[in-house]
Formats: sequence, C-alpha cells, structure tokens
Amino acid sequence: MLIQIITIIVVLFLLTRIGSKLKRKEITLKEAFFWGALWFAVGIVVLYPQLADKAASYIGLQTATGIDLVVYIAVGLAFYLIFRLFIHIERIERNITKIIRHIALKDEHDK
Amino acid sequence: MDLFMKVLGEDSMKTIVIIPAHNEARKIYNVVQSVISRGYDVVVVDDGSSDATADEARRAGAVVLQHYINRGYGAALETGNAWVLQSDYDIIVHFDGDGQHNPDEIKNLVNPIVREKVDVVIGSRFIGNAQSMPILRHALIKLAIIFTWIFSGIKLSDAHNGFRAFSRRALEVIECRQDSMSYASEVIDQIAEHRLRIGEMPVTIEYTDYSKSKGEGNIKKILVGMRFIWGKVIK
Repeated sequence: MLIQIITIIVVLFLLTRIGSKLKRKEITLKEAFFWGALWFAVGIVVLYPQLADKAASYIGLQTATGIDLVVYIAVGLAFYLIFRLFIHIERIERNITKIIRHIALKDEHDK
Repeated sequence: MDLFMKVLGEDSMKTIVIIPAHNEARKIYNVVQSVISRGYDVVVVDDGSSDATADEARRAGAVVLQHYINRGYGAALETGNAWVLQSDYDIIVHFDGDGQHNPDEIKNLVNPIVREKVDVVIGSRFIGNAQSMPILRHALIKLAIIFTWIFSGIKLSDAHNGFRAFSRRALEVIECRQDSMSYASEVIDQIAEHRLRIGEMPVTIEYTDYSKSKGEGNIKKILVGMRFIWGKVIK
C-alpha cells in the first residue's frame, strides 16, 4: 500500500538523520538508541499491522485494534516528552536568572 | 543588645527599600525620591528596561542593580534581596516602582518588626478601609486568598500585595526560585515553611491610569496561580 511505502521512506530518512546526528555527536548514544528504537518500532508496525493487533489483544484491549494501541502509546509518549521539555526549559530559565543576577551583583560590586 | 535596640526603636535599625522596576522611567525618579526623603536607603533593580529607568533611579539617589535582560518581578526582588544580604541592613522593605504604594506607610510595616512582634509584615488593602475595586477583581483576590490559605496554611486578608517588610533573619531563610509574579505566592509559602511570624498592616494602593496600565489582567492573575503550582512541582 502507498501509505506503507511513504511511512517506510520517512522512517528510513529519520533513521539516517539519527545516525548522522550521532556521528556528529549532536546526540548521545542513549538518545540515538531511544529515537532509533522508536522509529524502528513504527516501521515494524507499518509493515506488520497484525503485530499491533496481537499486542492490543495481549494487553487486554478487547474491542480496540492494534492501531488504537499505537495511538494510545503515541499520545502518552508525546505528553511525557512535553512534560520533560517543560522541566528542561524551566531549569534553563532558572539558570539564566542566576547568571543575570550574578552579573548584576558583580557589576555593582566592581563599581 | 536586643533591649538596647528596642529602646532606640526604628531609628537604630538600618532599613532599606527594594524597588523592582521594568520600564518605569516616567515614575521611578519621584518614587525613589519620595522614599529617600523619608530617611530610607533605596536599591532599585532595573529588570532589563529598554528606557532610562536605571539612569532616573541613579539620579534620584538609589543604588541600581541592572538585569541585562528582563527576568520578571520575582527574579528582580531576589536580586535585590541577595544584594541587601551582603550588606548590614536589619529590615528590608519591598515597594512597587509604579507609584501605587504610599511611602508614608513604610514605617507602619517596619514598626512591628522593630518591636520584634513578627518577622514579616504584609500590606493589606482590606484591613480598615476597604478600597473599591471591580467585582470580578475582588472575587479573584478572594479566590487567591483561599488558594494561598490552602497551599501555605496562612490566612491573609489580601493576596499578591507587593508591599512587604522582612527582618534580616527572615530574609536569610526565605529562598524563592520563581521569577515571575508567582513570587508573591511563593514568599508566603516560604514564610509558612520556615514557621516565620507574619503580620498584616493596612496599606492604601493608589490606582492611577499609569499603575493600571502596568498592572495585570484578570486572566494573567489566574495564570500566575497556575505558574506557582507548576513551580512547586519542579522544585
């Protein structure tokens, strides 16, 4: 199917991007493994949708199909990542304030 | 020594007024002058203003600490607090830079600390002569009072009043991390956490067109509450 071909092309493209980012040391090995595993799993589910159906029935989603399980996981993962990002941004904001405060106090002290 | 201090009263206690200011060039000179003329030292924290706030404050005789970029009301006050704690001041007052606080009332906030009755004094608009304000704003303040009560266990008659006084001992233990207006909630939370003695004194707030234009809308006030909770989550 066309959707499978497009998705696989996108997944392969993203996997190469992860590889190049790791090579340029823009991400750590742990991060590369996480994102690589995530996109690899997306590729597997697109190629073999029945696997997701089996996983859904295995964990007890009686009426849901595999694709529902994938959406649940994706939404949960997205919320978790947003939460992590917010915490990260907040810590950066606080560190910026510390630097700005340090400069303000130093400037006055040096006068 | 304590008794000696009590006999001498306010005059023997070194008091400083911290004024956070962001783009207040129009008002800051008069505000600083009005406080200095009543015998208090002043430190203005210019929070990344793009106008001549710092120059005007210096011209009026204040010590000026400058944030190169805007970090918010709480961050500015904490910078002022950090500077004051490097000096030998006994009492620290927080005072707004937009001219809505009355400098004659500083002594009312300072006196209970001089007499060692309390460690912190918060100004209240609702003790004594209640001031008129829009119903919605009044309802929001009442909600904020309940919010503060739930989180800190301290029941105040006003919320988010920026006119406060601290003993040096109090300010040494208070540690606020929130940069924004949610500082006002966090400071009450810290007072409760460190079991400091808190009092309230009536203050009058002069709502001018200028101060209203600098103030926050009702929705922003609600967001401040949410910001405070978020700040607590990632403490």
